[in-house]
Amino acid sequence: MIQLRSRRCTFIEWPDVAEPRVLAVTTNPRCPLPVAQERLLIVDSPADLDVGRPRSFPAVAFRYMPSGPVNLPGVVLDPDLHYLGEGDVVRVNPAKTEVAVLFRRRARYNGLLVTERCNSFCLMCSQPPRQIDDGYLVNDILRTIELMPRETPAFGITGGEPTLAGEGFFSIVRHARNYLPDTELHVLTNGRRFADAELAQRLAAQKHPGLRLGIPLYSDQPDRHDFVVQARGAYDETLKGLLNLGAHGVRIELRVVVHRHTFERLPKLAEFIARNLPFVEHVALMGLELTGFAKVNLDDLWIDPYHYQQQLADAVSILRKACVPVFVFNHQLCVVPESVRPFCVASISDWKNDYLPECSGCSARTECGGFFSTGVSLAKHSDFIRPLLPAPDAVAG
Amino acid sequence: MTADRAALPKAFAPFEAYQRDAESTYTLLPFNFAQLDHRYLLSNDAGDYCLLQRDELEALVTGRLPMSAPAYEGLRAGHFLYDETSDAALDLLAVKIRTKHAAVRNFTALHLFVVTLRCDYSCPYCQVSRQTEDRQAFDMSEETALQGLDFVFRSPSPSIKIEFQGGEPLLNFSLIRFIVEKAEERNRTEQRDLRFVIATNLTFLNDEVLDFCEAHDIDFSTSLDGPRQLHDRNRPRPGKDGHHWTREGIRRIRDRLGPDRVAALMTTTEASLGQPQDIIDEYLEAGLRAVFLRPLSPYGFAIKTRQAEKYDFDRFFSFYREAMEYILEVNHDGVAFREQYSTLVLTKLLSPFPIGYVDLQSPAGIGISAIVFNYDGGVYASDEGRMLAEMGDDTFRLGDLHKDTYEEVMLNPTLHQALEQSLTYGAPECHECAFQPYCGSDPVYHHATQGDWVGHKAYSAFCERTKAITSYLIRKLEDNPRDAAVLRQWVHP
Amino acid sequence: MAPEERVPVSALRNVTARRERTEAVSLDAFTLDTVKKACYRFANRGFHKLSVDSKHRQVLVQFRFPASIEHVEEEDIVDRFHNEVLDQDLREKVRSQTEIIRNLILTNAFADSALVDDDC
Repeated sequence: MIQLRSRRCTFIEWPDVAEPRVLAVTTNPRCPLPVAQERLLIVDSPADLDVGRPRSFPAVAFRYMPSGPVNLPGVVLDPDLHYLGEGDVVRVNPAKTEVAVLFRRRARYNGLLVTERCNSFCLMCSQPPRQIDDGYLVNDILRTIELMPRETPAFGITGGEPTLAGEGFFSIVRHARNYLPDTELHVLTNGRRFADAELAQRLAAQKHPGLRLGIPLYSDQPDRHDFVVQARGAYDETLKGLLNLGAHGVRIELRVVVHRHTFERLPKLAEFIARNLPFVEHVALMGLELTGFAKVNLDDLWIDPYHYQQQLADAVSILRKACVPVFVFNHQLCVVPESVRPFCVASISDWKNDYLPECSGCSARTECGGFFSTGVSLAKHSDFIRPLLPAPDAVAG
Repeated sequence: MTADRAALPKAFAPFEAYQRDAESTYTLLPFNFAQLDHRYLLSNDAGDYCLLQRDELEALVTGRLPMSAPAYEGLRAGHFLYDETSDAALDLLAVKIRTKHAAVRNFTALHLFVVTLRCDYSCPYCQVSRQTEDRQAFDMSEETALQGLDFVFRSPSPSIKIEFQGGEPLLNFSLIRFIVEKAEERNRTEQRDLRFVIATNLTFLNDEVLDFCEAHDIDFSTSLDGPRQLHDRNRPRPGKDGHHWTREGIRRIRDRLGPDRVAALMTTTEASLGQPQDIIDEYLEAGLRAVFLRPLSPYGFAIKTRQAEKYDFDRFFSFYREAMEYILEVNHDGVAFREQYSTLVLTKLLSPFPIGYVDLQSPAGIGISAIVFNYDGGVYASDEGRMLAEMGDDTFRLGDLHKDTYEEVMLNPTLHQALEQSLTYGAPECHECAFQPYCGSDPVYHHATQGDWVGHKAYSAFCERTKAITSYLIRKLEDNPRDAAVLRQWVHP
Repeated sequence: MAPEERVPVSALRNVTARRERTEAVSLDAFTLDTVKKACYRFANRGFHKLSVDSKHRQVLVQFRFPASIEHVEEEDIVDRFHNEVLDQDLREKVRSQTEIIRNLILTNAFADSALVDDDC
């Protein structure tokens, strides 16, 4: 599991009054001067300081502990952050002796945190909300966008609830359109604020060419959805938000997390989507991510995916036949019915994908992706994990 | 809901905290209902439907349906009621209804050009064709065609379909060529989604026609009434070889242009009624993947006896059911085969999207969805309207391409009256009918059979047909999951 | 009545031998409009005419069946007629509760389309 932040970094020889700075990491000591002024040079040994112009950088990051004075602002990295490399973007905060990683160039996917505040309180929230004043995060994101490479295929903004950042949210979308016009922007939001039609119109008016909103809907029933997100009126607002966004042509991914409180009416939800929300780009049916509140509420939320195979198959079938594209995430191939397997997307993370002893001999390992190595996923999983063997004719062939 | 297995930590509220207050009640949303069998069918203007027992229906209407009733959640999600947990139903219903009527805003899309009345066939159920060599008398002229095209592009519709009809249109292929080329020329500036289809018996299909149709993406529609004996009996031509030419034509189109470029329909006659399986088998053999089961046309009969067709309907419906059961069996055997009329109704049952079929629209599709230009320049509100004129009733002749302007034709008071008065929202019985969202107006039919735009629906085979087929499909969807899975597959909005 | 179970119209027309039957529907329980609407639906199933009997506060609904009709069939039609009266009454209840909201929904549905004149 990759660490994205550490407060165990040692800041050496920094000026007394030093604000946090957002910098892109480089391993190139010979960076042209104007570029170097926005970079954090990363070095492995004292010899590296004799190469190029290390002092033209605002700061240098050390993968070792210097034995003597270095005559420049430096930060000795926590070994957990030694993986940092060219093109990554970090925030260095000397007041908290903290380095936070905002963007990883080699990551398959980057999600930038807009705020930890949220107007919902989902039972299975993987990023439990905090009521704090974290407005600075928006500025971090704006800076990060300026430092991200233009070839980045996609990135996401998430939270908490990104729309709670108000104007900050729109400035992020605008900034992304201006600096990264070829990059898809995926916004994870509960969509509730868009019940205000003006907000939906403003978002469309940003004219971001690759914008997609990922909005969860957990039931066709208002009370069930409100219960799962722990907010009265959330269903009402989300649906009105969806209609307003749809009216302005904003692309929507509808997300459903499947657990004990949502699996039973999954086919009914599929029908509801087909009739009422046919304009969504696709539906993502997702397995429980066992972190955050999902861990806390595991006993209440957990159902072995094997036991909702019928509902999952029916929901996929209904959506397919209504010509609504559907994808299934976070499910091992052996626990979903055969009819659903073609719709499973292997969530291959760039930290380790793990497998269980039960998986040995399985012919579908790479397709499947196995489990996230977040500890709990390996401890709490379906009782029906088993190797999938190739079909007889495949073996003969 | 499954009982809470473990109480959630205090920070989280239980499900009950988000339910509607037990003391409060619900608000009814508008709906119609009708007895289906031992159940009642409820439907709303958006086409959502559900089935209830009568006591549930009574409880629902008198405000006594408890939240714990098994039907409550379905009624809420289906927008038959709403409560304090959400009133999004009001917006969703409006959007769905708007979607259902979206095609009206686009106005006339389908334009039929009757390029000739000459035909080599002499089908008994056809009212219009002439067996003659006289091109002058019965062919459309280039001048008329150009007037027609002017008319076509007056329509605001972003999608335009031009269908060539007759007689036998391939007998005037040079005019088809002319119209296609002129239309495409105009479309360079107009930029519509422009499509062409030729409704032909395929006797005169040759390489020249195929070359042209390939170059211009033209589709074919033909009649295949069944196996050779049946087809040739229904659709006679000199040489008694219509079936041969039709099958041969289908094969050539499929080989040359691909399987999706030719569609076929059949007309059910007395002789067809006993052979549903043979007809489907014929279609399968021809490599076709869909059939349109068209009931007996009432127009011929209507003139003779006003009610006879209703008796015939019961027999048609038995035929339809047998054909459908066989088609479903074929599907279960792994062959994707559809029935087109059912598909139209299923689209209305399962999605909020409109359909382009003229006879199942309200307001009726006459003129505002489809329009006909006859060989002599006469403009008709529908193909059936043209047939009526051939039998002496020109009620639905809206004007003349050579004499009248677009406005004069489209503002013809007869057209407006027919559209307005036949609107199902305002017709007796229709306005409170549970089948209304799945039905249409068809003023031409009711004028022909009963003498007014609306008719008394108790005597209408059109009404009976919609109710029977829709009921049949609803029962399949609700009671037979295996067949329902096939039927859902047919809908492609 | 399921559509395919209707008595064919041809069986009811132009017959010389007939059986007549009169059913009474209370005007204390139902409105005249409700009864009329039910009668309208039974036009092809034997309904002949109706009249109002003010003295007894009831509507007299006269049916005419061909003599050939089975007694069971006749009873079935009459039963269904009374059910239809009940259904029509229920429809009236739905309509009175939902008329306003229906107009609201329909206005909303057609509001931003060119179908509704801005002057309306």
